[in-house]
Amino acid sequence: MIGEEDYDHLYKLVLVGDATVGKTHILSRYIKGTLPKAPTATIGVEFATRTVSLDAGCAVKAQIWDTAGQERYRAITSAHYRRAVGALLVYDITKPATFKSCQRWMEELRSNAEPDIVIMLVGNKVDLAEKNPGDRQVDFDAAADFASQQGLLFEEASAVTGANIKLCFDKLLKEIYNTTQHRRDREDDPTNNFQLQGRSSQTECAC
Amino acid sequence: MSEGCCLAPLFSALLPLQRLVALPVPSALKTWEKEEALDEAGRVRKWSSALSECPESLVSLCKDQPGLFKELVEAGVPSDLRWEVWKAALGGLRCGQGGQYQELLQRHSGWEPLIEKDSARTFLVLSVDDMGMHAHCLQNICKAYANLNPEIGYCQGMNFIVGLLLLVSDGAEEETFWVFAALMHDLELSGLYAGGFPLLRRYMDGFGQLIAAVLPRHSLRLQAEDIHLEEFLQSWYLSLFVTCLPKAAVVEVWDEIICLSGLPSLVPLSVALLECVPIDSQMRVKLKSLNEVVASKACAIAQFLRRSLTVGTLELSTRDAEVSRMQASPEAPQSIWDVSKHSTALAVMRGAAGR
Repeated sequence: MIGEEDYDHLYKLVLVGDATVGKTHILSRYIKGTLPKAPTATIGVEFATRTVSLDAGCAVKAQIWDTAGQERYRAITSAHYRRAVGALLVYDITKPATFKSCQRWMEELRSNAEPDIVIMLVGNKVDLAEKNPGDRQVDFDAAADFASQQGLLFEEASAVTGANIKLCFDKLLKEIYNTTQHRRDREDDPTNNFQLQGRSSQTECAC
Repeated sequence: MSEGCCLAPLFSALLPLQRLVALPVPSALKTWEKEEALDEAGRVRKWSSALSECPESLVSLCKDQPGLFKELVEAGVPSDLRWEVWKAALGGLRCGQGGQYQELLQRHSGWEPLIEKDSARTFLVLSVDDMGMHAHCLQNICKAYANLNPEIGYCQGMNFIVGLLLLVSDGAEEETFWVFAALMHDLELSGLYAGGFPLLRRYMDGFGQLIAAVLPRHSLRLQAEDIHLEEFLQSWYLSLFVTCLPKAAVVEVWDEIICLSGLPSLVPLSVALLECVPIDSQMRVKLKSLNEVVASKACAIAQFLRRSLTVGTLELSTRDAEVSRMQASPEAPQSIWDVSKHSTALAVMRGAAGR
């Protein structure tokens, strides 16, 4: 366990997706390990932080902004995309409309957040499909295809059982680390742009 | 009118907290409480005696004797009378034309799925065990309102307002609908939920200006901790404090808003609440769980009183600047510090004539 304030990098993340896909549940599961006591619609934005250590030993503090999913709230939540380096874009695998919206959410993130924002696509509520396979309305493969076409990370998860929740954040943070490290290296060594870009991202998480 | 008296409604907003947790009350406040804020039995006696001398209904008492009505509300509204008092303050119940509510219920607006999802979870927040009882009414009311005012439709946050109204009306669905409609229209609550959230932004700007001036240490610490006003203010305002204060306190705050000073008093009330939050590294957490903060700090009550007065004073000084800014930019949205609304809130803050 590392101290909350003992970190090497601070990353701003946003949680986006349609209303009722489970964004706040995912955050609560990740931060507190439990589901919200009184689950309710998020009004505007909510905020949480968690400091984690990446594989290579460096600590990053994730500053996570949970946003209201209702369309109308974008007028006040999209301001929070600014300077975000990562996003969890969540849909509900039992509701195709929430998956369809991901295209629009993604475009909005890319136009308002940092240009190289790392986006993790998360198909939430897999527990429902495990209980009753007929509930699944979005194929794993269809979502995985979409993710690879758009350059998104992808996982299916369940905030209710906790399955893959930590994994989603870990993979996202690691990828952000690699991306920003990349950028830092380029900035540190402007004469040597192209060689650095060729390095494998796997070897870069070493503080 | 004395200062203590003029601030009674604001003070009463916090009294229920003390009762709930049986806090030791500072001695000066104890006296004040005995003299000015009545317990439930005292409130009932005071209202009964006023109503017995006023053979007409509560509606006419409110309309014809605003001074007395204000004095009664400041002394505290008895729980059993609250629904009737709110209806009276809103000018009596306007139930629309016969069958209009039923007709509104029949139409589809497209908001149904979201409303249904929200209605089930609203009463968890309100800590009502038997949530099935009111959830259906809440759904109906939100659906009907979306049809009554399609421009506003349904916005998450409204569910908390309707939920609390249903608890106060004890599940009187159609009446609750018309009271909600009156709040949205007459009190301009709909501005909080309209597309682009114009009123919310205006109030948040007002809050930012006020705390910078009257709570500079809080303001600086919020910045230092990188706490954004949106993190707490949006839910404070869009739920009219339902999501952050205990029910008993919320209804008293609503007494103030509905019966006396209108929606702009959200701003000074929230500034006063912020002052109850200690300036430390735990501010962010504490802003999220105000219940504990307010209840655990009896001294906050005194600060609350003092600050409310200061806020009232500050409003005067910011108004001139605001007016000149508006004149320079005629396109600018109407400010919360505009003269009419501003003076209403201010009048109450200072104990001058009611509205």
